[in-house]
Amino acid sequence: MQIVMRAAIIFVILYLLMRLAGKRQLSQMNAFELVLLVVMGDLIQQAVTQEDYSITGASLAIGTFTLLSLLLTLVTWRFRRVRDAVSGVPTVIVRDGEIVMDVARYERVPVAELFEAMREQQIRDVSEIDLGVLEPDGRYSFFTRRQDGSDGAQEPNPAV
Amino acid sequence: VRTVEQVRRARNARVAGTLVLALFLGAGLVGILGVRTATVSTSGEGVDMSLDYGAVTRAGLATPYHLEIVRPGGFDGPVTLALSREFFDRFDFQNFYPNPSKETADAEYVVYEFDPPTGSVFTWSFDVKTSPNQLGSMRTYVTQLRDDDGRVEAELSHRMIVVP
Repeated sequence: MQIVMRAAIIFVILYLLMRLAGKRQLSQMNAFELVLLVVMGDLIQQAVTQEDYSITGASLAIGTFTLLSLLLTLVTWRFRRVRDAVSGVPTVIVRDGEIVMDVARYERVPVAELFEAMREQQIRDVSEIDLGVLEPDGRYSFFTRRQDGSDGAQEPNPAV
Repeated sequence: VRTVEQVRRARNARVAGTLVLALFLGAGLVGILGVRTATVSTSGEGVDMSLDYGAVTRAGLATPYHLEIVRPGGFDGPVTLALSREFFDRFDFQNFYPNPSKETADAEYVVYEFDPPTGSVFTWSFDVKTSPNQLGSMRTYVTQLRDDDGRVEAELSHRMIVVP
């Protein structure tokens, strides 16, 4: 019984910690953060299984994580508010060729990182961007004036 | 490319798998997969024996074993207990409470002798963890109370399942 409870508690704590770390962590993980994640996994293992060396114990722990993940997926699919809370919402970070500096600051996005993302998408200058969106998974989506040939790219209604 | 019907069947299979997973976790949550405690008791020649034991356990987990012997007239000599040898293969022993004053073994049993308690109740407990290096087992083990001549006064048998 304990192993299922412990796994469920650790699942919630892990989820909260990952949300606390922010959306940038998903795409911007460096080598040190990757090592931290691996170490975290090791610490979690001790907390969940403790001295249970059985196959059944491991299966219960993995099963609990899997079932809770499935439940989270189901709930986020069914309820939009939960989806927004769980998955996050896209955020406009560049509008009409200008970086929305307040958003960049709140989301802890260095301008250099934004420029890097632009270069990866063959965008030379921020003025070429009609709309730049920081996606919930940490990726950037850019809509350039050049792409749609007009100034008025249709906004996908992201929350700012 | 999958058809809508194939996608629907795959969805149903996933739902069925999820239900099986939920049942498995439910079994773990209520303790069916261990550790589960059970009690057996018996009466012999002027003596009552009762044993709380781990009916279902798993590798690495602490498993209960608490034996209580009640002899209304008190114990006038050493208490001799014999346990199935195979029972000891299942555990890593930390300690006995109390520790025996003498011990020996034969082909089938490990025999312990204890100093008699002052009252009419003798209790014996193990501090044990199920040995990690085993895949699983389901066997019946015996605990005997013997008199000075080695005859069995009372006997308890209990089945213990070690879930892999």
